[in-house]
Amino acid sequence: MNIQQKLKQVIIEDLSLEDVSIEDIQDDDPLFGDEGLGLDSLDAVELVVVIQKHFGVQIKDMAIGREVFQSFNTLAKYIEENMG
Amino acid sequence: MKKWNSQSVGKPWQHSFFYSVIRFLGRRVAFFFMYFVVLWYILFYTPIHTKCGPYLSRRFPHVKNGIIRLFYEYRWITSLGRSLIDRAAYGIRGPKSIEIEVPDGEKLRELLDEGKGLIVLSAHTGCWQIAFSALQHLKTKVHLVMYQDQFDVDKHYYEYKGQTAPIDVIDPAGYLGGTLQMAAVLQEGEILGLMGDRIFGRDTNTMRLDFLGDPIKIPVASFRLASMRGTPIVVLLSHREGRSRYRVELSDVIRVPALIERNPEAYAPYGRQYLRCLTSFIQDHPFDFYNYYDMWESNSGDTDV
Repeated sequence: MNIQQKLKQVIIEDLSLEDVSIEDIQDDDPLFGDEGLGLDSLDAVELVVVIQKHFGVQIKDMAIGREVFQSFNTLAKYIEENMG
Repeated sequence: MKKWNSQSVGKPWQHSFFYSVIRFLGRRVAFFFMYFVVLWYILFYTPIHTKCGPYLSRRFPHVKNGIIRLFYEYRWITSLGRSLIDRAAYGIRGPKSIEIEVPDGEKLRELLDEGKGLIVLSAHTGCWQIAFSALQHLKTKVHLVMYQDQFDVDKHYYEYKGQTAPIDVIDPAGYLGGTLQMAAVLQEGEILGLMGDRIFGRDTNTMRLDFLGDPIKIPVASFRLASMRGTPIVVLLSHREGRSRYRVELSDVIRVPALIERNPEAYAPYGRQYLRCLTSFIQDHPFDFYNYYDMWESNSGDTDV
């Protein structure tokens, strides 16, 4: 399973997204707001914890967070570049 | 949408007048003027009754007499006036002008030593800003989630002398509601202060729970953050106790288990625990609770909260 697939699975399972399958998540989907995945601000915190747990990648800086959380694609790319 | 705003009903020159009185004549003279100003508002500024009604009618349901109701409004608003003057005096005349007692310091230290950070859940009671600054004695950095209206003429106590905030302020109107900063605070094992009695802007993370007999919406953020890392929550509420003295009381410690749950209602038992603390507080200190808006306003069909 590649990083994108694993990330989709992790988001669905660890954030308990109901009625969402891996196929439903498009690569350029925005993570937050009414469109795309529709995650909210507290999901962002959970996402930070989940990414650290499964990929060993930390997102501590606000500026990085703002850039990385734009879409599913930007998040997957950041994980890929920063995995040990 | 938030139903409250932090803007004072006073004009900028009125605030400047009080700051000058505090600076040159002292707090007691400022109190003297404040009593008359509040009386004027009670008698001639009708919106004040709309602001006071929702809370006072629930806290004192037996009071039907209009004159007594006006007296209660007067007591409640002069209590806020004293708190604002004390806060200003703390900034203008120095910390020695107001005494803050923070009991249970050892308990707070123990909770911090668990290494998961500490969430201090408070409410708009007493002199809450100064109460948070008093936590600095724990030698751990304090961060406070605080909203300030850009048009608010009232100052925070550290602004009177152009000082920077002694505590780090996280803006809930910022990116993702400041939640990433909040998570970083807990990750560093530091203190995160949140107010549990008001909601901010657009956020679906609220729950409806009974308070004084009717449902209100409260934010779920503190409980969900606590569940993510196993962070303990302490409920701290402050009240005025004597002429120059505030007491901060540790009302309860709330432990939220690890819940993988997005539904805010899952956190309702912990929200109720917090509201029990608040209810008990206002039984003892009814005029030290400063929410002058309709917390109980119906939000049926409103998803923009």
